[in-house]
Amino acid sequence: MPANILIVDDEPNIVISLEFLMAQNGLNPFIARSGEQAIDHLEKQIPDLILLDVMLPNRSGFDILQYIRRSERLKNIKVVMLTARGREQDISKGMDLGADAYVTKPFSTRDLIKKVKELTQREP
Amino acid sequence: MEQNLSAALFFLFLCGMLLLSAPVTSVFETIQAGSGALPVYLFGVWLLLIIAAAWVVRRSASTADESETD
Amino acid sequence: MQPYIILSVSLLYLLILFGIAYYADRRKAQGRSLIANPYVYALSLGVYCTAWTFFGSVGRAAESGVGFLPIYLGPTLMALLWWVILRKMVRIAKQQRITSIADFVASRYGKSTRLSIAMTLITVIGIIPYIALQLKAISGTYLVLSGSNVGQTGILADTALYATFILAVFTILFGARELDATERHEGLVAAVAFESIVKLVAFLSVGIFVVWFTFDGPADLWQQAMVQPGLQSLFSFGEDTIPLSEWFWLTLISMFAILFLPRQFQVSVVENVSEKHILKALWLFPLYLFAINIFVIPIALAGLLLFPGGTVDADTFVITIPLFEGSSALALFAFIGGLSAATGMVIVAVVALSTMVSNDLVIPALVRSGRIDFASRADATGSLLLIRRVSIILILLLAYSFVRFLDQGYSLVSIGLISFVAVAQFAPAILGGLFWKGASRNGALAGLLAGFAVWLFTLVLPTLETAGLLGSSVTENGLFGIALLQPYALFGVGHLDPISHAAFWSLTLNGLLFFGISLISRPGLSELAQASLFVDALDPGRQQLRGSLRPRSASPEDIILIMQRFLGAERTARALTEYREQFGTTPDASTRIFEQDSFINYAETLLGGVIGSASASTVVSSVTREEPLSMEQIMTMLDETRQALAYSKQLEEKSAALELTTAELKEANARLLELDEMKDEFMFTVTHELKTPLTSIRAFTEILRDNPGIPAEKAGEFLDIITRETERLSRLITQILDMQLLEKGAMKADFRQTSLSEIARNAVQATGHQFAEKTQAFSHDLESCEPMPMLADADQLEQVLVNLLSNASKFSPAGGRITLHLGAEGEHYVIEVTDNGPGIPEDERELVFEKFSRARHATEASIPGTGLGLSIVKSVIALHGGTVRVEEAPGGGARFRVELPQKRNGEA
Repeated sequence: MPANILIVDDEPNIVISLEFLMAQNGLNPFIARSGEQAIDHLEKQIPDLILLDVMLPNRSGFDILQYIRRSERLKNIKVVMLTARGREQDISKGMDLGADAYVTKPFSTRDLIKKVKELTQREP
Repeated sequence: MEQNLSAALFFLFLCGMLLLSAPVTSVFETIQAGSGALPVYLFGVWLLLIIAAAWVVRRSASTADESETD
Repeated sequence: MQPYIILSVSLLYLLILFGIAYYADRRKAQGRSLIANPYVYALSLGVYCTAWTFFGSVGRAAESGVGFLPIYLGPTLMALLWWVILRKMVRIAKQQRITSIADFVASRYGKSTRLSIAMTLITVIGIIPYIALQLKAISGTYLVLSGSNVGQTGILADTALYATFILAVFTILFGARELDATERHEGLVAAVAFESIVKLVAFLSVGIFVVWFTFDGPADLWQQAMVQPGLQSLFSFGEDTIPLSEWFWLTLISMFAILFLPRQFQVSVVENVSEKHILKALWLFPLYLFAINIFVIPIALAGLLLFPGGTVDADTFVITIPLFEGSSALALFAFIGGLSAATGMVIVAVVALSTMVSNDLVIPALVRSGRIDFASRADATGSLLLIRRVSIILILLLAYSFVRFLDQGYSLVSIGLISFVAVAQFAPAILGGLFWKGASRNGALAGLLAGFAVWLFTLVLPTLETAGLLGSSVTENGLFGIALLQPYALFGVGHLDPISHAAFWSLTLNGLLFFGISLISRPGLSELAQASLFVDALDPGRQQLRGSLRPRSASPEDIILIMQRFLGAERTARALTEYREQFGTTPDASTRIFEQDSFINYAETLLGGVIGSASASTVVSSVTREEPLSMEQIMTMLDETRQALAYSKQLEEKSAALELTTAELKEANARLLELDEMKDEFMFTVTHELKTPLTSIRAFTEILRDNPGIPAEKAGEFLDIITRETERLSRLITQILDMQLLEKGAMKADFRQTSLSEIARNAVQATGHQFAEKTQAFSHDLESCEPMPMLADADQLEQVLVNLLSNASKFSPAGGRITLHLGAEGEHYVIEVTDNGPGIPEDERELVFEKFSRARHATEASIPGTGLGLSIVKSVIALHGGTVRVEEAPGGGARFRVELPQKRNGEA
């Protein structure tokens, strides 16, 4: 059964590219265009991994990450942070909050897929 | 500095008035004259006043230098 | 010792003295003053130590033990107050060009002629015995040294007269060679300072000789002395030595003497070079007094031991002990020391007195009697100098006659003390006048005259009687036989010694009248003005009413004529140059009354230096009219006073302003920090905005690379995205670069004749799709618009409109309403872009035009944009000479309003 991947980003073209990439690599992508949409989605379904943009309207990616890690139900979801910010303190903040990986935009598609596959296969 | 210097000097003036005139000096009316205590006392107080005045002036000058310009 | 040796050494000494004075005067002319240092100042104050100190202290110590000390302790105590009192006197004397103590008092009380005459008479009468004392000391010690018989009055007369004439010559050489308006004598001061060194060294030499050569040190001397029955009781207070009451009164009058003796006033006030010197002198001078007195008691004891039974006058011990011990060279040196002490005093005192006599007695009398002819253009400086020289000779002759007729065995000290009591009479008028504005002329005059009268009665009358000049015995029976009016026991107060008795009555009566009459008499206007100048001398901000209360007018030519007569042509020319430098104008016929008055005051002060303030006032008033004060003039004066008072207030305000500036600085700093933060945020935003299209481009490019088998349709779609994102990227980069250029002012606008409505149409076309995307209603009034011709950079203005419109779109909700209005108001075109979004809070309205500021909103609300749009708008509009602001639209929302001038500056 293909892993479910939730893509959370507000930039339409990036969402299109990510959705295509996931589908192409045998993963099952879902889309959320804002933090609220992502929370709504998580109420209904628990994905295996979330690709989470940091710069989101209203609720930042860090907020969502914190929400996930604090929830008994959601805390085991793998989270890959996506951001244009490449600063050390942002990376360490993401890691502190419990992100599993951190990918800086613009990312290499191959690296991203590799990371996503690693994270989804480590624990069956 | 001006004010303090004037006040310090005035303080010395009062000390001098006190030590160099009656009733303080009347003590020597009873002390045996042959001991020479009176001239020693008067010259001593005199010299102390001079040294104190020099010290006050010098100290005030040095603090004035530190704070520069008046 | 052979008289010719003594005489030639003495003459040689006087010539050396004159050489020093001459050298100092030359150095002054070269501008390298020899006396402009505190040590010379302190030494010159040593003129206080006269023959009385040099010979008389030992005499007094032999009689009364420590009884000689109050004369030196008083000045030591007063020196501690110099920084307050003497500095003020120096400041005033310089401000008002005061050259004598009589002038000082007369000036304080409204330039009163009567006061200056009274002061001069009191001083001359009071000091002449003191000068006589010096002459007597010189001739007396000469006789001792030469071994002549003291009893031979013929020789005595010759010696004293001889000394008198030599001193007269030297005094004229030192003090009246030429006329100087500042009345300062650098040569004289240098000579006096040198004399102070000579007399100190001479006295110390004798002291060391006596203690360590005649005796075996101080202990030996003391032990030998204390064995003598009479000597033990010397060193305590009591009727036999010095009662405590006398001790007190002597200290007090000595305190006044150091300030008010004419020679002390001359060297400490008139000749003062810098007020700072007072600071050092106030301990150096007492130290000098201490040093010159340290051997007084040993010498006195030695003399009493060596010459038991009073065979030798104790006043001459300083010379007789070395002579007795066979050291005639040391005796000669001691004689020279005494000569120094005496000549120093005589020369300075006579110079000071002659200044007073000529300025305050002779010249006013000549002026009043019309002997000085104002119509004459003749230079009067020659006659002024002559008056001065004749005064010197007359004063010395008077002193000589005093020696002749009153030399009845008075000790040196008692004659000196009589003079001390006389000058102590100045204390209420001067000290009161320095610190109390209410002191009045009548009070001062009454006090002085009363004090002087008591002095004459209690001290001079008995002296005359002793000299045999008065037949009846007033001292015993009282004046007119009234017992209460006995000179030594006035009103029955009889237990005091004569000096204390006289000091007590004269000073008490003087003070009572001074304060009492000052309290009941109202000072005149001119007195009030002078009072302020004196009392507030150290606080110029508070010196009120600087202008004359009665402005005077005179033809400046008349005034200049007077100046030339009394100052000489050269000095007058210099004075006029100084006036011009100080006031910026040259007095001439067109000068207005207030300026005339200021020039008259200037001339009067200057003349006062040469002929005394009272005479100067008389001379000047002979050619001036007093103008009644107009209301306007009073207002000007009040205004000046107010300004003076405001000055101190300003100081307070300045510190408040400083606090304000500090607060502003803090604020500016906070603002800078904020800007810095904004810049940081902006960099994030820019990075984010740049990386977003880059991310898409990279992602799709890699997808296309890694998936060759992608359907053509899908690939085309991806390529489209790549193209769009590339365009977006380049747009962004252009904007950022524009911003950079605008910021540096490097972007040159391309001004051409163009139509604003045309530009607006283009902008609307370019942004139309944005409104469509968010289903926003966009309306404008371009159809009905005039062409609106103007000189502008069309591309830039279009960018402005695009920015404003897309900004409105971004901040308005989907389905919102946006309107664009173009119009003409006055000389301006007006562009208004209104939306119905959330609006902008009032405190942020300025901020939105700042670069980067949008960044904050962007992160908070995540509204896309660089934060540069509005900043670009502002810069471009400014470049076109217009303004842009944001206001609240009716019904909420924001309205951006641009005003552009229809015609650029310089455009026809």
